[in-house]
Amino acid sequence: MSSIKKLIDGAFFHSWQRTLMVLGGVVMAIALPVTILLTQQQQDLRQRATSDTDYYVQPVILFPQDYPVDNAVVNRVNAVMTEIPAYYGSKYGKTFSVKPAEVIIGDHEATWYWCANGETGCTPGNSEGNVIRQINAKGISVESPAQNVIYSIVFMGGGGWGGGGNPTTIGDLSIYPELDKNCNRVKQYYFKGDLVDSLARCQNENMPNTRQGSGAMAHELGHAFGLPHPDWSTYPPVYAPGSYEYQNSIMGDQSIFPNGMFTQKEKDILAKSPFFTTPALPSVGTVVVDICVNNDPSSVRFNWTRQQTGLLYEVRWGATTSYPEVQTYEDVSESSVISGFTPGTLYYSIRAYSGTVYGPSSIGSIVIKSDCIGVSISPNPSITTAVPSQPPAPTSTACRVLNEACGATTNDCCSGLSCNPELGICRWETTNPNCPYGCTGGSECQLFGGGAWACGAPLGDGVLCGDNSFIFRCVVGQVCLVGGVSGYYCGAPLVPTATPVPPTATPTRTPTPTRTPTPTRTPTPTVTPGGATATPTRTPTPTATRTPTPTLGSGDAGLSLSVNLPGIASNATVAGQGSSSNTERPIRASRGIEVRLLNAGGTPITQTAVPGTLVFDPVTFTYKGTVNMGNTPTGSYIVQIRFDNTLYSNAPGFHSVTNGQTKIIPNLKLISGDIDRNANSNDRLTMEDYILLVACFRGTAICTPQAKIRADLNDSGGDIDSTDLHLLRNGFLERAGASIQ
Amino acid sequence: MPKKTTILIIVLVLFTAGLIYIAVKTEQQVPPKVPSETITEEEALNLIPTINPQTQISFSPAVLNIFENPQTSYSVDVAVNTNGQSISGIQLELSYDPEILTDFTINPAKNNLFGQNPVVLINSVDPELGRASLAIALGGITADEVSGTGNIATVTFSTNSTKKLSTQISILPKTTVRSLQSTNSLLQNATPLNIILSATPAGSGLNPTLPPTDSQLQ
Repeated sequence: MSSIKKLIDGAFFHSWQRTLMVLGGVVMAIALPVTILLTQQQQDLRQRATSDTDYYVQPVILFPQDYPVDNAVVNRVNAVMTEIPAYYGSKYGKTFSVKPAEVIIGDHEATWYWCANGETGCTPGNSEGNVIRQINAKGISVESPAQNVIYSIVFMGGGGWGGGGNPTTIGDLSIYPELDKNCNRVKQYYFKGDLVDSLARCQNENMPNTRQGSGAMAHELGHAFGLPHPDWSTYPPVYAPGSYEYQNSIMGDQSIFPNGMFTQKEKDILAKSPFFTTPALPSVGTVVVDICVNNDPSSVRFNWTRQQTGLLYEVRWGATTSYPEVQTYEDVSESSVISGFTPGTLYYSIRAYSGTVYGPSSIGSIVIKSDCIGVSISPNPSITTAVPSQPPAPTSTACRVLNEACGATTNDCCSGLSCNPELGICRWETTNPNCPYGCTGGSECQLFGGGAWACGAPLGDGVLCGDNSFIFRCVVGQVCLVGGVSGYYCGAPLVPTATPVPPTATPTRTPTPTRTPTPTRTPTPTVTPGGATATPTRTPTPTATRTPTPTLGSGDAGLSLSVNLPGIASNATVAGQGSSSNTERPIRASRGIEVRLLNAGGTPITQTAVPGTLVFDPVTFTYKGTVNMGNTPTGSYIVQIRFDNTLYSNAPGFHSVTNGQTKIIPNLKLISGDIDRNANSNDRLTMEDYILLVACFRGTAICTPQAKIRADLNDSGGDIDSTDLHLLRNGFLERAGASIQ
Repeated sequence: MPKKTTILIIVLVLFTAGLIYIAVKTEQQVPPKVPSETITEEEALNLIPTINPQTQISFSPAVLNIFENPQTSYSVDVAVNTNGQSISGIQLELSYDPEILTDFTINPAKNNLFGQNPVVLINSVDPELGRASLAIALGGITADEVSGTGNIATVTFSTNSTKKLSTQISILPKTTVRSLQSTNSLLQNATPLNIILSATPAGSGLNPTLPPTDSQLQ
């Protein structure tokens, strides 16, 4: 004990030694927690790495130089690659995950990869190897893939050839016929000495009207999972060609897709595959379809039972049975009314969607009549026309809607809302991770000037409005418009034609009664937890006035739009190594849109385009919304739309527009790059667009703040980079918008 | 324990606590909203000074005498003299008589004014209308602007020379020369290519094309 005391008192040490000990102690005191912290971070990283090694299938599309990047192909591959997991899930019980397709722009023309005509730098007779090495050189490790990844290569210019294993490979014969519904883009022979007459196969095997192309992708993936052909003798029992098992398995006859089955042998093999970890989603079961809803012959209600909570549902409909994709409408509730159908047979398919995989489809057909005479109309007054991107309108018994009184402890607010304990009503979610301290006192998390997220008083309950420097909510019924001092403001939907029409008493279009305006919900600045005052000063017309929910007057026609933008989420075709640099969440969640209607002769029916607002849906990666076209003569029109930095694009075909109804126009794809939007802009990509993009990258004076927003083509938050440049160059492949074609 | 050591430990503890306090306070602080003075895009554009156009575009050679030097195809460079101005890109719009000139192509010139790897945004020929477009610019978004004299494009064509005495390849007013520093085109004038097809040349010759006005740019 005496020695210890001497040690503490320093009898055994000189003063410099004591100083050294103290410094050592300080270093230890700092180093120890830092070491613990770093260790924890490394553990987190290891955990993340573990989740990154989840097993998945990665589609890769190779466009050779003579195959211009075609977004329709990309979207088609993505669509089929969501259908194939659903197929495996429905036939086997479990399924696998698929990531959005990566796009590779090759350095050579297609024949180079075949290397059959004296091309240099390639390996003769090994097209698959040449393709793999090309993709590998672009940064995707298809040559020696990680064990948790199966690459599924789509080689445009690959004709009717395919191969299993990892990577799997298919050619464009599996894509074009089903996409185009014809064989026009299929070549007879793809290289010198090609043994496959792809054009003959396309025509003789009726590939435009079958699913054989998609079946080939499912077949080759089956090989990657270890499945043999049914007649391979090394995998008993052996099923010979012509047998029931052979003919009904995609591994024997790929044209059986999406029907058929897996044999028990195949199921046993799939059971050993680590890729099959995802439980299959339930079928929606029996679908009951009501027509003439609300006495409207063009309205249909699909009814099915929600088998599992937390799922979205996708409804597709069209004029064919093979793959109803003429129109799509996602994220609908299980009893949604959809309007705007024309008389005739309507085929539909409905399936569940978890966010990563789809469930099996329930497919059927109904006949749309031209009138409702003699049709038994089932009442359903509580359900209104489904509107994209808006929270579902629940009945009062299901959950509490916006601004409805709620129980703070039970949190009985509808999805997307939370019960504000201080106000005692349901408000927008306040748990946005961008505001980590939460928002109190009725304030809500939103983006303020300078890119800072903070709590502030929302101005309304309607659509989001603003840009990457400031986002706010409009009051219900107003739309986000471009202009004014701040660049954006909320206002009433503009009506293109001035002819007033007396409102007719149509029961289905009666505005829903609204709640009494709440005087306390003025846009009062709210003190944030940090003490700073967040004042949404840029909103020009803050008002607490509540307006009726429907934006359409009884004599107005509406267009319900769903729009894809390149560079946004999986809808993109961007630089170099594909879509990995796409923006998952565009900074401009709400964007202004311009809509033109043209008659059959191509003449616009209004002098100026009709403005509207679309809101980004992070589930479907599309911008959705309804545009009020005002009082429009009933008829069939060409519909053209554009964003503030895109060319006008046509919605394919003619669209019947009827006053008092909303016409649904899904899946429009726009071409980005029209940055120089001034009075002289003429819907054409020119040198000025390129110069503006470069100027915005380099920050020269000719890049105005507004131009910089438009130059951010992938809406990544103001950073102008090579991705934007690549998107612009892709746009130059088209150059001219629909308004001048 | 010596008094000095105790004091040192206390000081260190207080110092550490101060650092933690500052760190936490900084993290919790919400950036104050700074009202920004915003102006319309039109107002912003009006604030940007325009630059007096000095750049000239011509063909090299300026006159092509096919009658004296018949060939199966001809190649002529499009030359640029910026007269000291720095430029980033040019959109060249040409017009020719498709009945006289055939197999018309336009491509970036070798030893290009815009460097070894210029960006070609547009390269199109409409053989029915007799229109050709080439939009060529700096090779990357980080490349420095260029100035001086050099070629930007090469046009090649064959002739069906029996129909006229002469013809021209005109540089259309829509042609634009762009800089990162100005919103207006820097094209001062553009000289067409005169092509002599027969022994009696067309007399008028070298009339410079009028520079485009801003309203014509689109």
